[in-house]
Amino acid sequence: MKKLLIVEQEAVILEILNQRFLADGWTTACCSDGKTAISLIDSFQPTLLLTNILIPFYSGIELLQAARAKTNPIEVVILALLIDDDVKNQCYEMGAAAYLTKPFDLEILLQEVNKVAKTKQSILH
Amino acid sequence: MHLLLNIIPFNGLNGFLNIAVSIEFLQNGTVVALISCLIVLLVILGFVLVRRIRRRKRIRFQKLFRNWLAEAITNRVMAPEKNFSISIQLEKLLLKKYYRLLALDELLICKKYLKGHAMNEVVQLYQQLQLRKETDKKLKSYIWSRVVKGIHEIYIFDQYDAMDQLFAFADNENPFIRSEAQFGLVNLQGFEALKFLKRIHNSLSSWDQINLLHQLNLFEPKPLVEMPEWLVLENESVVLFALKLLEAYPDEQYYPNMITCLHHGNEAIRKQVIRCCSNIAQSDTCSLLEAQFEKETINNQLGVLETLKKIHPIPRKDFLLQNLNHPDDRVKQLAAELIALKFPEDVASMLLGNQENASKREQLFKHVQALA
Repeated sequence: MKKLLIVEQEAVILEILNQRFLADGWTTACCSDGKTAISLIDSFQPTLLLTNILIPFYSGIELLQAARAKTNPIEVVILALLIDDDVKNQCYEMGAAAYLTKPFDLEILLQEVNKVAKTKQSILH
Repeated sequence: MHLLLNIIPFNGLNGFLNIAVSIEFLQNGTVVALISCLIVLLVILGFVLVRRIRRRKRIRFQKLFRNWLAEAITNRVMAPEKNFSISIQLEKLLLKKYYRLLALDELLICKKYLKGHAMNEVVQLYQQLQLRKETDKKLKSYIWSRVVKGIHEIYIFDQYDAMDQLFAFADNENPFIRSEAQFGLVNLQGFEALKFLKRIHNSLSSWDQINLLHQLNLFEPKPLVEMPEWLVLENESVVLFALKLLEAYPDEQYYPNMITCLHHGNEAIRKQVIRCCSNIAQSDTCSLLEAQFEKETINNQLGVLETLKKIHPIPRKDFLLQNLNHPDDRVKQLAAELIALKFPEDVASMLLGNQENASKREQLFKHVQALA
């Protein structure tokens, strides 16, 4: 089962992402802050994490670190407002699978997430 | 106390004290005080309650609207041919101005963060919900912050039919309104919107100029056909901005118009012309800059030498040598660098030829060599 954890501070964007991924057959869990996200990583055990960088309590980079540190590392797609090459490189170095910036195309984001999930699945099998 | 006794007659004070300490008066006073406290408490409670109810209503509406909006966008993106209607509950709520403004805020966030097909759907929803009426009301407001918000909504939701209104706001007395309107015009039309420059009498701040240049950067460059007219305008901030545009988008055909501004009364404009010369220099640029050099401020003199370093035509040797004796060390250093750059073969003889200050020049020469 494809399980996606979405972390986004803007409630309306979070809802749009949630509905779009649900319509695409994903099982989703949503939250708008880092603290809840950390607990959801343990309880929901997602296959993929889609996160913004600027979120309350913990940053998206800290979430990325936590997700990659798991015994079964979770793939992470960053959806950031920052177009900063340093941050982008840092995310890739820490193991992010993709880095997209806002404003974003919903369909391209969906394709990117599915691509990452497919790659992970093919590695596992 | 003595003063009080002098003012109030003894009998009067005595009578007042008798009434004040009477049981009846104290009882009445206590009741009045208690009722007053109760009224104040009730008012505070009522205020808190109203705010809480309003907050709950707002949260409930936002949840409902976000849900509907997300569903509408997802459905329209997945099946554009299908018609997606609005629920009766939401339709009723959206008749009220308070909820319409909340809906507008949610759509603004969506438009800001989405692009592609989903973004187009957001604009369509803005029109379908007839939220433009709210924007128009804001544009007519007497409060400047509301007008600014209205202008923001106009360009965020690509309302091209409101361009005339934006053109009118572009020269508003209020700096925030005109700044937002100018930014909005460029956001909607790119280079074509720059025709507002001819119409404005108020000045463009440095921040406005930076914003406009940054916004133009997102568009495909187009010929700046109105450049000759901009460069002779009375509004000096527009002349300065036009020169910045010419620096960012060099076009040699405007060189004659640009170079006439080298004798402008405004130092910032002359400085900008000197900077522009680095991008669109012609055969006479060196001689014109050299002739202007003596009349310029130190900062502009440094600018002239920096430009001479960048352009292809070669400056006169004697002009550079002369500046090796300039009172300002920065000018001396730049002149020496120019000699090393433009006349590398005979640099040593040129620098050391004149015996006067030979040792200082030798030091300068070594410094320039080290820099090279």
